[in-house]
Amino acid sequence: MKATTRMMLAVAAVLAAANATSALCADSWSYDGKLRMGGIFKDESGDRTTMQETFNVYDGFSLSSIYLNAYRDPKTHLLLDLSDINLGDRRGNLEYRQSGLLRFRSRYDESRYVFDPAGNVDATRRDWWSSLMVTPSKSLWISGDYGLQTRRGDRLGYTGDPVGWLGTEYDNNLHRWQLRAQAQQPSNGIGGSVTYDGVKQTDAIDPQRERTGYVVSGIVHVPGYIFKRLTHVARASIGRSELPNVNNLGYDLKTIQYTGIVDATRWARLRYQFYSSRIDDEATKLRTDNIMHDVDATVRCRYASLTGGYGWEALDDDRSITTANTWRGNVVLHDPKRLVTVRAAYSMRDKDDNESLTLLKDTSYERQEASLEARPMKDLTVGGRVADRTRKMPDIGSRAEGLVATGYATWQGAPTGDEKLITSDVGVDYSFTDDDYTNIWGEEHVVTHAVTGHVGVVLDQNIDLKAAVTFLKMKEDLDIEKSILSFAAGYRFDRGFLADVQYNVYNFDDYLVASRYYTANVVWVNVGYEFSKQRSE
Amino acid sequence: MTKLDHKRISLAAAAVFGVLVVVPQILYASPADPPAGEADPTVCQDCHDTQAPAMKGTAHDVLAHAIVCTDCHTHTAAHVDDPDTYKPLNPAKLPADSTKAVCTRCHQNPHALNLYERDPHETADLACTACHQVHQHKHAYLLKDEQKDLCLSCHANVRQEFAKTSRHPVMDGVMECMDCHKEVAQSPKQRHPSGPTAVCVTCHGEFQGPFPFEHPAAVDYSTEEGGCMNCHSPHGSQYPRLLTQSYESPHYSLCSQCHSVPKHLNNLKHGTRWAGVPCNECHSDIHGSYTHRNLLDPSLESQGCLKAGCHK
Repeated sequence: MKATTRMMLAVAAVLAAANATSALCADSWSYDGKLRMGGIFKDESGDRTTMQETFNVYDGFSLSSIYLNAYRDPKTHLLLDLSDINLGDRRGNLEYRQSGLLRFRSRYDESRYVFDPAGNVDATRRDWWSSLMVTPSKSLWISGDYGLQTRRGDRLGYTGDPVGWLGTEYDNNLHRWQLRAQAQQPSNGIGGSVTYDGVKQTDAIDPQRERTGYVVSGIVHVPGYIFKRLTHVARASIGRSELPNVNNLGYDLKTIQYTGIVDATRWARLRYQFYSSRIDDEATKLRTDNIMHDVDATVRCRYASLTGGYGWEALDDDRSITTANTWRGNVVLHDPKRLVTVRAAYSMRDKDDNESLTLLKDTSYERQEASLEARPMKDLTVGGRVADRTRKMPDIGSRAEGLVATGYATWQGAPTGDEKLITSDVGVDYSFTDDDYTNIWGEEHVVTHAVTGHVGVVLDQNIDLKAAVTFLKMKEDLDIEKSILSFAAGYRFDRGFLADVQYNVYNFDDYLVASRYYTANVVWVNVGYEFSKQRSE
Repeated sequence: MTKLDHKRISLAAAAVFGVLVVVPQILYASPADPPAGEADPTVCQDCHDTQAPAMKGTAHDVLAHAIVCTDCHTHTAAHVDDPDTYKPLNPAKLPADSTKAVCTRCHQNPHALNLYERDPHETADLACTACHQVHQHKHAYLLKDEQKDLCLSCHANVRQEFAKTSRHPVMDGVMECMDCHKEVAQSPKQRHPSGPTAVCVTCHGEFQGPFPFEHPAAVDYSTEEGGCMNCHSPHGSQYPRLLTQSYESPHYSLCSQCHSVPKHLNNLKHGTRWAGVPCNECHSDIHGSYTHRNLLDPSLESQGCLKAGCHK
């Protein structure tokens, strides 16, 4: 299968390149592109599962990038972007668009996941996705999407043995497709769409895992009906999901949603939402109804917006009923130019198990958040956020609390007065989390500190320099340290030739489990060629 | 409730309403809009000659007559007559809701409709132009930056989650934020008729129901309010398999946060035999089972565990 995939990809790339080359020779095209290739040198030791960043980095030759961006007449646009084509990792994008008529997009990527410390037990996932949208008129869009995901290879059970129906290997295909027609009347904005989503999963190892399903849904959007400032959005869907090889066992779903928005004035908005669904499940023999009412009100002025909302929800499966109340509030303050923005938000949700028949019984969630973002000078942005959240399940003695605090600063631009330093880009952020889980058996506490940063400069129009760092430290019930350092340099020669090199150092240490460590040094070396042509007028 | 209480509540409600109605109206008093009326759109490029080429090949390509400048920039007639005194309305500089009103004249796609409903970006008073930049074509969907860089520039805490040991491969370029957040951060029930789990099974199809025997914690329509995110942290986790909590001896807190049933550890028939043994040693089919209501491993049958009187 690997050989077939490679062959298909190679044929597609050659055909696309050949087509593009012959077409681009005509004077009517403008284009720019890049070709990069080189080698990867990788030296690693330790537990491969600890560093997901290197799962798809392979020692050896790499076709790093084939990029072509072309225009004609000027309604036609072609984009081909292939990258990281090496031993077991590749991805590509192809896009063809004719303004006002059609757009075709296709995407492919392939990646590997490693399950064992030595890196011998692994699985490969390949994703194809294609989409065609046709716009025969300004009021009508018709689109079709198709996606195929294949998964092949090993699978490691969590405890080794037993592993249940998941087994020890993958060999499945997941097909997904969507057809959608959307129409809109330009004069008054009335519009709607009908969508059909289908799914089929096949499994070569165990046919009982195969499943099929579909959902047909529709949306209608009607502004100004009943009175001018009222907008209606209604949605409805029906669908079924089933196991064709297990007596067609399945469930049916139906949903209806309605949203009414009243823009009372330029500064006030009232929104009402209703949601209802029914799932008829042949497996559990339960028919679950879900009903939800939500009201939100927003008032705005030049310097602020204030939103408050309330929601009520019920779930009823003929055996047990739960109801939930939700409250939320949000304030945003900013100056007219939005140089400083401050935000505070609060939300809570209380679920009542009216008959105490569910396992979790009553639950409650609460979340408070505050953030600040400022642009004290041109090109510089600084910000921070603090969020505190709690989930309580008092009837079963379970509680989760979490605090997250982040700060960040970015600066992008060219400093004045220095002609050699063309552009620069600097960013740094820090995150702190404190998570505490408690249940009747015990408590778990993890504190995490993380810093990431990057700096990039372009010197003298020809030299690119970049450096980046990621550092992660986990404390309390865990003791883990992880870091990634990256340095890159590139040079543009005359006539479009270029060369670049990147060096990354990866480190992972679990100080509580001696065997869980990892270190790797990876070097990428590439040479390339950039080309461009402007259409002759 | 007494009559007096009613009166007080009515007065308080009237006062709150009054404040909410009057104060914003005063604060909203903005400089007057320029006189209405549109110029001939072909004259715009006489001065703004760098804007049109930047939109080449996009749906906003004014050179290809996909749209004209005055479709978005209104009140232009006065600006043409007196460019220094009158500036046309620029959607990127309008309040968020006004910007959205301009964009949704054409973009009534599901993403735009979602924003009519309830969306955190809208609540945070962010306009379409906070993420999209019309006058360029460097990035897909006219985003201001590469998708992950754009999203993480505000959601810095998610960058930390993506640095953890077990994570979705967004930083590696294998996935993009919008692979899961398809129509941006809309309430999952509104986005997909069958709930948030529907997003996860787009790739993890083997865990999509129905199963003959379901685990309510994994089924988002159950009265237990299940779903993948009860056990998995989608961006990243310090634990294997994106687990939200530790799955280690002696507590297995991932499971014991809900299942605090003591008989498993001190069952008379087993003694302390199962103390410290992972839950899925027996309950292996934790996402849903084809054979057993307690999600037990089918191989337990051959070991005699499923005989009458035991784990029926």
